[in-house]
Amino acid sequence: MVFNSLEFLLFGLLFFLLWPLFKKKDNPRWLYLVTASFLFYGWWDWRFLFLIIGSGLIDYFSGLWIEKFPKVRKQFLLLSLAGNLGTLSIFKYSTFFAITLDSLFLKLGVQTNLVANIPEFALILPVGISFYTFQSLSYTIDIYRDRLKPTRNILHFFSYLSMFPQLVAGPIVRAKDFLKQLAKVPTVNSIQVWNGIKLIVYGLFQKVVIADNLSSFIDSAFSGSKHYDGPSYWWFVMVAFAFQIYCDFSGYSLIARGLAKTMGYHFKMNFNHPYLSSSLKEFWGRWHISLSTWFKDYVYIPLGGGRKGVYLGMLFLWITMLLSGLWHGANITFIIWGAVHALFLTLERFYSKVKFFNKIPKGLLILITFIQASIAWVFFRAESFDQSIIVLKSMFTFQSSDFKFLTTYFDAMIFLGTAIVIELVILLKRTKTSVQLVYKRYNLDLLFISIAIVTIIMFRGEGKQFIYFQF
Amino acid sequence: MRAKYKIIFFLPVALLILAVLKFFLPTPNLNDSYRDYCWIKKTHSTEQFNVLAVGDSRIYKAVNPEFLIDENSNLNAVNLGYSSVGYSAEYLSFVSGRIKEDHKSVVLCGITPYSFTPEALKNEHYHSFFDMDKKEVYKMLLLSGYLKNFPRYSPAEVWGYFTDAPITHLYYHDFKENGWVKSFKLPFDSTAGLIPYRKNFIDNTCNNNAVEEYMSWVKEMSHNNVAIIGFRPPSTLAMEQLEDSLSGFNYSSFIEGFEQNGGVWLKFSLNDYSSYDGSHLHYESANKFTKNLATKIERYFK
Repeated sequence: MVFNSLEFLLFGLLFFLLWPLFKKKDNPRWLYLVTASFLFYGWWDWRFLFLIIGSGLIDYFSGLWIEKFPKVRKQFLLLSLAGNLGTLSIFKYSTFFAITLDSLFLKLGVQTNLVANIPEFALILPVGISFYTFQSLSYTIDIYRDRLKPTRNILHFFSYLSMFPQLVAGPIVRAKDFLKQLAKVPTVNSIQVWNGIKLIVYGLFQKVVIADNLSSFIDSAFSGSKHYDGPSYWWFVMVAFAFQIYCDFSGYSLIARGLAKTMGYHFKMNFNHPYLSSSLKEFWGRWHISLSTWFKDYVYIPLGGGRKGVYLGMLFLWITMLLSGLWHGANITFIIWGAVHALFLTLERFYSKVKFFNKIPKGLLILITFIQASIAWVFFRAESFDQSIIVLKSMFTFQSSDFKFLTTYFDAMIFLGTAIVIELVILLKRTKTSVQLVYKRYNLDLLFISIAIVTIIMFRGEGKQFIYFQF
Repeated sequence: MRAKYKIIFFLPVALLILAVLKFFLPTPNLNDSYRDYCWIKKTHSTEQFNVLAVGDSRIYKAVNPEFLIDENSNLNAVNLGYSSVGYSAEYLSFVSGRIKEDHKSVVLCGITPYSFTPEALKNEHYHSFFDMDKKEVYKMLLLSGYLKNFPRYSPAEVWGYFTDAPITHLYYHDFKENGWVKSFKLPFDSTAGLIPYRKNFIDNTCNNNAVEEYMSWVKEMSHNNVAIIGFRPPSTLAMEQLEDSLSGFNYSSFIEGFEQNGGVWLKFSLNDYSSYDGSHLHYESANKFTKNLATKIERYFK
């Protein structure tokens, strides 16, 4: 069940109607959360539930045994890692690995057909598997590192693992933050509810109005169904995609945070206006923050981080970015997307030390960072590596531009313009105290939220599934 | 203002703004929720009909069931056309299942060369609705009444309403529950469809087995007292010449086989109708065409 659906509206209304009856006592509260979350997840396909329950049980017991049997704690951590990463490999990466191995063997003169031998069940990608696998992994790793005490109550554990607002597309919450919250009776006041409503409405606006309305412009460009070409066209397509993926994913995160807030819980911010970053390093501190910090805490820092010198630090950065690319999808294009970011980050480390670059105006730095991110998005969105190269060549071909597509896609341009203006207004609101004062004095949030609801009803795009579900 | 008042007022304020806007704005060009409802109803309804128009987009845009039958009669009519439809055994079985059995029935078959090509026989448009999740189907059928009231607007359309700017580009579709799609396009270009059609026939020409299967169906239906009426949906002369030269479909031998198997072939003049893109009829022509068609099939109900 997706947030932008009628089913979810009914589910949400029913959930919040009954929530006050269950929330006061631990076991009924957790049982209610787990039941609702399983219903939410099983709505896609009830068979997916076996996977999350299986993977959760491995981690629940691994956590207990790591604490109970300290001498063999490493083995139980390995069991958890094997269980989670094994499941992820089978369901998400088996086809990719089989194709890669087949082509590798073919180069060595051996004909294999591993792809044909993949069991049928492994060809289905359960929704949100990458998200809950990483969430579950952080639980056992933190117990192993003595940063967290395992919970003995299985309902408590599963309400952490499967909580429906963030189950299928994050934010990836950490057990050490969230188990504590779940253990308390959630209290919520009217300010929190209002803030929750604002997050939900703005998240829906980002998804339904901006992302969904940009999708036909971008999809037609990458499917080749429209015969436009040239640098201006492809730059518009990539800028539109940058905002589509941002609004799609950030929209989901905002709705998740809003729902949690309305229940009395707090999820950390997952997107902090990444396109207002003045460097790529800053961008990664603002984009999909829960995943970036996960990779930082469980991959980059354990490898050595920046402590082992400049060059090893670079190597660890590259490993982390390539893994991050692979996390997003089982395709070489995602790995290259990670590599392009690693390359830009490497260059940034060097040129940020040059005095000249420190004198560049912030606005220009924001633009440069956005251009870098947009170039990398080409690999993320393209259907294949070859298509990425064709698109990049078109973007950097110096030829006269035909702007006829602006008429054809007038509506998409309006929505793209709206997304850009909103980001600029947010920049103004953050930097200009006078704008903040006007906003508060005239209760503009009430007006903006009401207008956002009207816009969602009148200008909603064609209902699309959230892009990040496939990851 | 306190948060609790904001919680109380945000929805009423939104509804007020919505009501004001709805008062000023006319119904938009395309209500796509209603569009989906119409396709789903066409596909998943079990209602049976006396007169059924079948074929591709030329049919669902050209044959308006409203004019096919006398409104005072007990007869009913429907348009079961889909985009790029192919006369596959599956589609024909779907059509057979919707024919009213206890009356004299008529099936109006729009025959285009593309309908017998391998690509058309996949029936992707039909399948996109037929294969839909049952929950989605149920939801759509249940909510149709509400969906009609919440159409989507496009910024360009709204801009046009408020500025009175002349509309130069528009692809108008008005979906009807009886399966007809009232349509026209601006700018008018009777050659627009030629390039896509030229591409359609590359490595995709008429499949003779499909024609034979179709003939068997015509024979079976005719034996069951169902009148099968065939015709070439009017488009343009250039389109007909293009189809005849590229499709590998031979109308003369098709008509001969069709009539031998019990079908009745009708001919329509191209000069009487106008197509906005070289393939589909403008809705005014569609109504005119349907009335002519109705006159020709009148005798089957006497």
